[in-house]
Amino acid sequence: MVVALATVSLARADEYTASSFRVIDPVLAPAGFSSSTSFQLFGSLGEPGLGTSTASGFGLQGAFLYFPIVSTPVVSATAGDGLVALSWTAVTASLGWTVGGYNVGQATVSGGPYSYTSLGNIISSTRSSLTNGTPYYFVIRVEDALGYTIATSTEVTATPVAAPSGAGPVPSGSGSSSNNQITGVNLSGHGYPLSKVTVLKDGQIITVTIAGPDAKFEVTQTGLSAGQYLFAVYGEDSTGRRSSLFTFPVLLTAGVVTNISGIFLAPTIAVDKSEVKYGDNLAIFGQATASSTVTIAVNSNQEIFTKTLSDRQGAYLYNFDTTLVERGDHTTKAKVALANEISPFGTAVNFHVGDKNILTEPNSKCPKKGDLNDDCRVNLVDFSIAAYWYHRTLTTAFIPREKSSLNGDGRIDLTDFSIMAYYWTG
Amino acid sequence: MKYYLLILLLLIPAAVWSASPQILLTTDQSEVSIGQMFSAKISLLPNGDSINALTGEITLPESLELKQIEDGGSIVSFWIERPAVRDGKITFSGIIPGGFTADRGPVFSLNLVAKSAGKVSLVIQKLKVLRNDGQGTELAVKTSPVLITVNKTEVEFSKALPADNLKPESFQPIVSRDPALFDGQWFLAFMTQDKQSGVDHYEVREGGDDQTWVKTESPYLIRDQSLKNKIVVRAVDRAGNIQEAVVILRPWYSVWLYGGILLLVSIFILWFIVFIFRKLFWRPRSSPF
Repeated sequence: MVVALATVSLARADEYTASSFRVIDPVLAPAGFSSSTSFQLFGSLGEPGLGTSTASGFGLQGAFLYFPIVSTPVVSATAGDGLVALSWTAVTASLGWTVGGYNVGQATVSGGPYSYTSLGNIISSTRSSLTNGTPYYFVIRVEDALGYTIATSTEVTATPVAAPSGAGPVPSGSGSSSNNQITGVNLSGHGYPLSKVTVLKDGQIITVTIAGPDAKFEVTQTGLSAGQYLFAVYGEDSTGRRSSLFTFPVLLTAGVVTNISGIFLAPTIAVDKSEVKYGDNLAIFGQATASSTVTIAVNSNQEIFTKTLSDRQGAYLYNFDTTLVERGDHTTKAKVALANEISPFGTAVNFHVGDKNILTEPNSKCPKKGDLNDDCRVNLVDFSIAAYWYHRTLTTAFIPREKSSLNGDGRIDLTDFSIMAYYWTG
Repeated sequence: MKYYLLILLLLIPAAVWSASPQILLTTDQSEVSIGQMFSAKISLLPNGDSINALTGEITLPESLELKQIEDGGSIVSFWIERPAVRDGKITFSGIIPGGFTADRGPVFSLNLVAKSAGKVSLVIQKLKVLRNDGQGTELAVKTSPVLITVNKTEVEFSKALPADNLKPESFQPIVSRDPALFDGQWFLAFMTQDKQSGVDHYEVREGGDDQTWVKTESPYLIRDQSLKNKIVVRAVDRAGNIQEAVVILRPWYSVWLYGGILLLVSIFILWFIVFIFRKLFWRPRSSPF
């Protein structure tokens, strides 16, 4: 009975909507998987007509396979004596995809071919019996519940190094350095072209760098201790808008530089109107990786997804037809895909569909909340101010500040600190 | 048919429950002897969510003695209340900027010694976890008590506390002032990490080496508001290792001082350029007579 009900629930067709069309009750056609020595045919549960149709006035992206959501894992590689310890961030998948497990691909040549090992649904693996001094290249392949590949990480490399004689079995050496006295981390990924990228270690800024014209960045930080760290990265686009924080835990080993690749910052996003008249267009824009595909999600009774391209500077713009959503409050957010890499969704922005147009206020570089000392940052100083007022009665001078910068309930509690942690800039 | 529907209705909340974030309390031993040390670990499992704040408390049974709290490898970057015994209970509150989304992360651990035989239970109460959504949305969180059986046999030797010979990480205190705090007077904000045993406390010293260290916490109201005195802050970890940080002060006259020096240097450079120019290119006009 339960299985039957679940099956019925899966088979219920949802409507597809875009700015210029609506597909009502699409037909579900069960399909399968076929293979022979010379070909493979992948099928899916979806509409028969998978593909993109275009004309001068519209584009049709049929079938379900366009909008399932999956992010690519951020992979860290720590070299040891004859081994490399790999760990990666858990992938988020939704709208039709679920993560079934991970495969690790291993090669001695950059770019492969890789030999894959199935790991199950775990997020760490130690590759042993490796040759010291030989660079190894790894990718993490994400599989869905049926065993099909839905995402592949960027390549990460590490070179196992023999432990000094008498040093015991403690891992040593590094992916990029043979100096086994250095403990540190090497971070690489995609930001926005020629934009500022800020790296935080346990909530405090350790370095700020500028991404290249191709939006790639790489940062090395040494002089760290062995232990568990929480790194975070955020970008600022050409207008000063900040991306959401991309956080990931890293366990550093003494005397080893751990390589972490595949950091992919979500696009920045803004709208031209805080309230838009029903039927008018809403401009959704921001910056992402150069020449990439930006997926925009608009929250309504039926969540709407659409895609647009970013230009060589990473800028993107999409004019959203508000007749596709009901009147009321909505949010929109974006993610970006480039080659096999996919970012998570970024920060959501609000807009209201009503009876008039109200332009959005000029972009402020300051965080909307959490900035208690008005220096356009949310960091240790703001935390200290809030910590002082924790469990204390607020003064009349501080109450307006708490109201404008935190949740406005006239006291400082865990909720206020949570707001601060969300808008954290370091 | 009715029974199937009933089972289904019972399964739905169970499915929702299983997807909730979890604070996991585990021990390295389920059965110990009197006098034996064991550890209890507190971990966060977001279960697909993003968590940026958490709080809770643990009431320690009388049959257990707390030897040490370790928070060195914690995923919590900023403690509002560092795990410590307050009013007979171990309380903790902290935040994770940007949220924590990985499968599992350590929060802190307790090193305990059993004092009397019997069955004891450890449980986390008043537990709250908040979503990283900018609004501090409180999430349903699950946790389970952990049971430990203490045998009557006594052990003479127990495992030693983990060694920590490393200093806390280097840090740089920030000098700031704000109308909302200390009536706008200068204060210090500071925070660092210790990846082994964890930071135990901070001390500050204003003035020379002959001055005494004062145990404090961030924010610290600077006594000498003229900012003329040297200030040193030190972080002390739970094993007694110390990391010192000298505060970089910018007294009120520094702007005028640096401005004055810059002006003098500029005047000198200008004079030098004019001097060289006159030496090389200037020729006195020859008299027409």
